[in-house]
Amino acid sequence: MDDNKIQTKSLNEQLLAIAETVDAMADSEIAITKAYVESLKDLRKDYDDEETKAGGVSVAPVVPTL
Amino acid sequence: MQGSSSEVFREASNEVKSATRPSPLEGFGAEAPATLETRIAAAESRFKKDRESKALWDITIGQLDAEHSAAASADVAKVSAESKARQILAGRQAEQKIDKLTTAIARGKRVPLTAEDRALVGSVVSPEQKMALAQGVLDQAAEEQRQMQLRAEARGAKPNESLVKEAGLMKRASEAQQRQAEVGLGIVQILKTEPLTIEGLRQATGAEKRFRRAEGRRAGLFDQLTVRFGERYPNRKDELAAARDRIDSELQSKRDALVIATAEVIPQEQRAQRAETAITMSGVGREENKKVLAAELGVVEIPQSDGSTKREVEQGSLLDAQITAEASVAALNTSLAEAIRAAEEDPRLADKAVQIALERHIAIRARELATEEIAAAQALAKENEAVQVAKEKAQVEGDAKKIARADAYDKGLKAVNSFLGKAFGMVSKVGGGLFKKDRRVEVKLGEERRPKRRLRLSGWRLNLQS
Repeated sequence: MDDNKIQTKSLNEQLLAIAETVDAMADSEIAITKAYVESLKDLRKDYDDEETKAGGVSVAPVVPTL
Repeated sequence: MQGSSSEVFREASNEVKSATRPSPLEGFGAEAPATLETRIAAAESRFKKDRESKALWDITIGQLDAEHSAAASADVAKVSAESKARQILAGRQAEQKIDKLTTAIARGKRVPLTAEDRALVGSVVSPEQKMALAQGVLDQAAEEQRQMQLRAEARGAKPNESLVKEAGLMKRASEAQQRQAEVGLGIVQILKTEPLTIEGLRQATGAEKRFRRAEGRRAGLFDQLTVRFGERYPNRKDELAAARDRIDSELQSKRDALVIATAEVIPQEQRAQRAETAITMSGVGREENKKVLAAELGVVEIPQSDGSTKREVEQGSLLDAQITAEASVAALNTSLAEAIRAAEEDPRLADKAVQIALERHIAIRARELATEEIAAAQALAKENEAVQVAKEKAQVEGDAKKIARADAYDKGLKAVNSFLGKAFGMVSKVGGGLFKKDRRVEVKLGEERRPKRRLRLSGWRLNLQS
C-alpha cells in the first residue's frame, strides 16, 4: 500500500474511503445475515412439513422477526 | 322651371368646389377666375329666392366657411413653425460660436473676429468675464494636479507603478471566491438530497475537490495581494496582517462551531430495558436459553447485595453497538442539519458539512448492521431451543423415526451455522467484520492537511515583525 498516497488525501477523501468500505462490508454482512435467517426459516419449515406428514405437531412457532 | 332641390344643391356644390380650386390658367395672363367671394355672392343671389333651398344653402355656406378657415389656419401654422425652427437653429449656431470664441479667448488665443462675431460675443468677453474664464481654467488645472497627487498617494511607496496589477489580482480573487461559493452551494444541494446515498456522498466529495481548489486559488491570490499591499504601504503592514488574521479566525470559529453533536449517553436503566426487550422479543422460552442469548447479545447479570441480579449491557457487545449507533445517528442528524444551514449561509463551510454527512453514513450503516445481527442471534437462539424441544419430545415418545427427524433438524441447523461462520470468515478476510464482539468500527484518520498558505503567510508576518 502506498502510504504516501494516503497522506495526500484530504480528510473527507479518507472518510469517503472508509464509508465505502463500511458500505461494502455492511452490504455483504447484511446479505449474509438475511440469508442465514431465511435458511433457519426454511429449515424449520422442512422439519414442520416432515412432522405434519408423519402425523406429528410442530414444536414451536416460526422464527419471529423484529 | 326650377329643378329638384338635390339637383340645385349638386350644382351649387360643384360651383363652390371649382371656386376653391386654383385655375390652371392662373399666372399665365389669362382672365382671373372669379374670386371665392364673388362666387359666394352669385350662389347667394341664385338661391336666395328659392325658399326650399334656403336650408341647403346655409349648410353649403357653413361648410365653405369652415374649409376656408381651416386652410387659412394651416397656412399660418406652417409659417409659424418654419419661423420658429429657423430661430432655434440660429440660436444654437450663435451659442456654439460664442462658446468657441470665448474658450479660445480664455485660453489666450488670438482669434480674428468678424463683425458678426463681435456682434455675437461682444457682451461676453467683458474684462470681468475674461478673468472669470481664466480663473476657471486655472481651477481646472489645479483640480487635475490634485487628482494626480491623490493617485500618487494611493500608489503608496510605488508612486510610479499603477494599481492595475492589484486591481487584476482582486478581480481574480473575487472570481475564485465566487467559484468557491458556487461549488459550496452545489455541495449543499447534494447533501440535502433524500435519501443521501454513498453515490451522493461520492459526488459531494468530488465536488469538494473543486471547492478546495477554488479555496486554494482564492487564498493564494489574497496572499499575493496582501504581500503587494504590504510593499506598497509599509506603514500599514500590521493593519493588513490583523485583517487577514481576523478573516481567518472568523472562518475557523465558524468551523469549530460545527462540531459533531455528542451522542446522548443512554442511561443504564434504559440499556437494561433494551436488553430485556431483545430477549423477550426473541421468543426463547427456557431460562437457560435466554441466558445463552443474553450472553450472545452482551447482556450481563450483575449480582446485587440483596441477592437479586441486575442486567446490564456490556461495552463492545452487539446490543451496545446498536444502542451507541442509534445515539450517534441521532446526534449526527442534528449536526448535519446545522452544518447544512451554516453552509447555506457561508458556503466556505461546505467541506465540514460533507465530513459530517460521511460520518453519519458510517453510523447509519453500523446501526443497520447491528440490528440485523441481533435479529440473527435471536433467530438462532429460537431455533436452538426448537431443536432441543424436538429431540426431547422424540426421546420421550421413543419414536425412532421422530428421533431421526429431530437429529436431521439438528444437523441442518449445525450446517447452516457452519455456513454462516464461513461466510463471515470470508467477509472478515476482506474487511475484518464489523460487529462481532469487541470488533468495532474504528475510524483512524490522518491529520487534515492545512493549506501551505498559512506557512507562507506566517513567514511573511515574521518578515514584517523583523
